[in-house]
Amino acid sequence: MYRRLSIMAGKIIADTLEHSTAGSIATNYVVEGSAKSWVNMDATGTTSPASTTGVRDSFNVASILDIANGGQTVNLSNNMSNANYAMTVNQRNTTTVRAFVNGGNSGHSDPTSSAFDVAAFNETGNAYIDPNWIWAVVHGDLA
Amino acid sequence: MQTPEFKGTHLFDRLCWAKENLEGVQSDYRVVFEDSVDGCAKILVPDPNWMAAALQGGILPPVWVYWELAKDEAQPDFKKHTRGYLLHNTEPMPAMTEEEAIEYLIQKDVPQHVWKTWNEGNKPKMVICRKEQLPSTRVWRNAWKIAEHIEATDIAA
Repeated sequence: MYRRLSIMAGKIIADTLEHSTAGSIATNYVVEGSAKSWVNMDATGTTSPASTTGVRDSFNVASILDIANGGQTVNLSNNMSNANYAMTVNQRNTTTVRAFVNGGNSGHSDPTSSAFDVAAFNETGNAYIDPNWIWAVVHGDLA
Repeated sequence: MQTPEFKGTHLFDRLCWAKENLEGVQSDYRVVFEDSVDGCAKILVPDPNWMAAALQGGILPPVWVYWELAKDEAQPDFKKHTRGYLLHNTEPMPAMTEEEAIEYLIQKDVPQHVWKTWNEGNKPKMVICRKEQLPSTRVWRNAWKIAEHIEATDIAA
């Protein structure tokens, strides 16, 4: 059942977690499947009166670069192992019905192990916008 | 609150401790820089949780660690980081002032060709300012540039 289990001060080392009825899960699912970084930011300046992107809250983020209209770069504190991680980005904009956000556009930089770009567009995709809410989550392996 | 003595503790674990125990610090500082002649000015915004960790001390690695990893990543045969231990095993930075933290962040997240030669050329390529000194709206955001002449009073502010 338990392949390995040892308990140190403040730390449990185990390969498997088992629920009484729901089955078991290997702890590497948790370690490898957990988000490694997330950020909730505002591109309109609501949290930052001087009209630059502001960070409401985050984890494993060192800074944001406001790079242009509709463009941000997220810089990480703990690098990922390479650029082959997955990011999920989403946004909410209060001034347009719908809008789109993605991991940068053709004019932006490719992701690196320490940073990735976010780009936001209007409903028709022909103009950049600065959404009130941008959410980004990173999954992958840490360096 | 005293930072635990993190020796060889994974940076991610140190960040978890900071997130759990420290209140975020929203800095009033912004760093405006131009990394290309054609592009508009970019603005570096410190993350509040990162700033709290920087002010606390004992959590963040020295900035040269990031330079070493960037060098590795720039190699044509780079597959994945093999020196991630530098992030985790290097003695963490002591507590910084907010100004020192901004300098650290510049060296980490602003291109080196900008901050190493920020004052060479016809005008500054980088300016540290307070957020109130930036334009009050995002009108013509893609045309924002650093002014050619910055008054001493502006610099002092």
